Amino acid sequence: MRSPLPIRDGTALAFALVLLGVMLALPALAQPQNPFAIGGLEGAGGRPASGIAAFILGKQAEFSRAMTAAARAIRADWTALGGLLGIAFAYGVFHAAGPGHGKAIVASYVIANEAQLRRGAMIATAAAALQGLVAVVLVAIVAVVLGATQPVLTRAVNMIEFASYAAIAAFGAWLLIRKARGLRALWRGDMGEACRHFHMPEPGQASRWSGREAAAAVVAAGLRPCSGAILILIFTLSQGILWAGVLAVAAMSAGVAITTSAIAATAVYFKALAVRLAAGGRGAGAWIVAAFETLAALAVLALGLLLTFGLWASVGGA
Amino acid sequence: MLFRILIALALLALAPGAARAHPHVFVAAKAEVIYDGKGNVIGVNHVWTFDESYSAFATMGFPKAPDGKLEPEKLAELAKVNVESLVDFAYFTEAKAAGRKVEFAAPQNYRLEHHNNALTLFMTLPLKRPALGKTFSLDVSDPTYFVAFAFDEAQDAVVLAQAPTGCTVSVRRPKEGDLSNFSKLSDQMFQALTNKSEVADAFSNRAIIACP
Repeated sequence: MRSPLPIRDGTALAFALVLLGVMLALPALAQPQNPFAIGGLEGAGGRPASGIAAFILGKQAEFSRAMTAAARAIRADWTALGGLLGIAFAYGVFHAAGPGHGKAIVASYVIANEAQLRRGAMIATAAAALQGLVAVVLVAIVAVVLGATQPVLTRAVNMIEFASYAAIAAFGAWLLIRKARGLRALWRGDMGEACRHFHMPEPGQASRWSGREAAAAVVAAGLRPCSGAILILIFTLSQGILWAGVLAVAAMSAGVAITTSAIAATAVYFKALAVRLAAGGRGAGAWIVAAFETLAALAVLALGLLLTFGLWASVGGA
Repeated sequence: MLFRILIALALLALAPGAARAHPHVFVAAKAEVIYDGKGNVIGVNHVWTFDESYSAFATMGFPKAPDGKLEPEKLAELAKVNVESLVDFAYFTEAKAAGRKVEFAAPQNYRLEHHNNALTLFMTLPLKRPALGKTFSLDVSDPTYFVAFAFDEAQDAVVLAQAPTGCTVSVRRPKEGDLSNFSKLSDQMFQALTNKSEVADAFSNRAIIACP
């Protein structure tokens, strides 16, 4: 039977499932924007559910206060800069452990593609650097050059957020189509074709390193600026020490990079371990790798769609 | 210890149901519970002071009056926007009289003030119907936890107006970890992981009023 659509049956089924999931989840996401939001989806979450999340969230007030106090101290004595950078770095490490910051994208990408630790860490670091850079450029244009008010900045953040979620969905769809092709090849028993789409853990054989794919993952994970970075930039700007804010954001990005790298590393180990545990014969191993990578691609697509539609529902189409 | 922290961070990231929102806005709240002189609660006066970062963000680009203060009209506009959008979040206020939830009408007498880099929002929330205030509980918090509310540390964070004599107020603020003791961090983290009810308690920001 031929598919009426010019896409593979497996891909069509996956799309249908994801769309169904999004439709089921949409009412839950259709929440108004928090009156004190910095950007789009904030305030659409829930009370911290797990113990560690709750604990880390509880630390944030303290970090925030310590950071503004340190920034204020710099006005009188620039040697207080060291303190600010230290706090900003620690804030980055812990803050990135909370939701957002592209962790899910980096982890899913790593599972879907990379088998190497170093590359996962590189992508995580580049994404964190991009996130900091976007915040600095955004504040420089909106606040310094235009001298605009908060609603303008929030709208700009919403727009970037929207673009970043759409990028995540597009990236996931692209990964998924590639994995679907691989699955088809595997089904036909064409191992050569299959290996171009999956990353079998062959000893001594490095998997292909695609700079373009990695760049796409970095953009998808790092485009959305972190609200914490925007806040410290605006605060230091109001105190006339924006330069200190820019340095603090750099320190924060370094902290975020460490946490997301740790998560990427965990994803690499998790995949390798799961494949090793599950693989009986060579053929079975290939199927398991294929299943993992396809699921990860599906997860990226689903996350991108959920975030895009969630933001749409929350801010009325940005 | 480093390894344990890494594992914890990874667990957290993969934990389903981990909060999607995280606090970027911190509010020190004060409240006055208003009685009618006959033992019924008729409203709540809120005074919310925002942290300096958020205050700078909310007032960015505001024109300044010749005396260096922010233009009052701009602050009035912002107060209106804030209060109008608060309705979608039930004013971040949940109150119960004798264990039953009370309903609030639209805020009155609202305004924003700006002192020492900090914005303070004042507003009165009238109850739709007066409620007997023998036992009255007042929760001020953001269920989405984007805004972290905590009652002010001052003794007079929650006060009563025209209440019957002999009423007592007890305030429970959200607990915060102590950053000055950084080395204990990972131990606390694992305690938190194994003791969920304690964590849930740690987030409540509540005043309980008991009258004779």
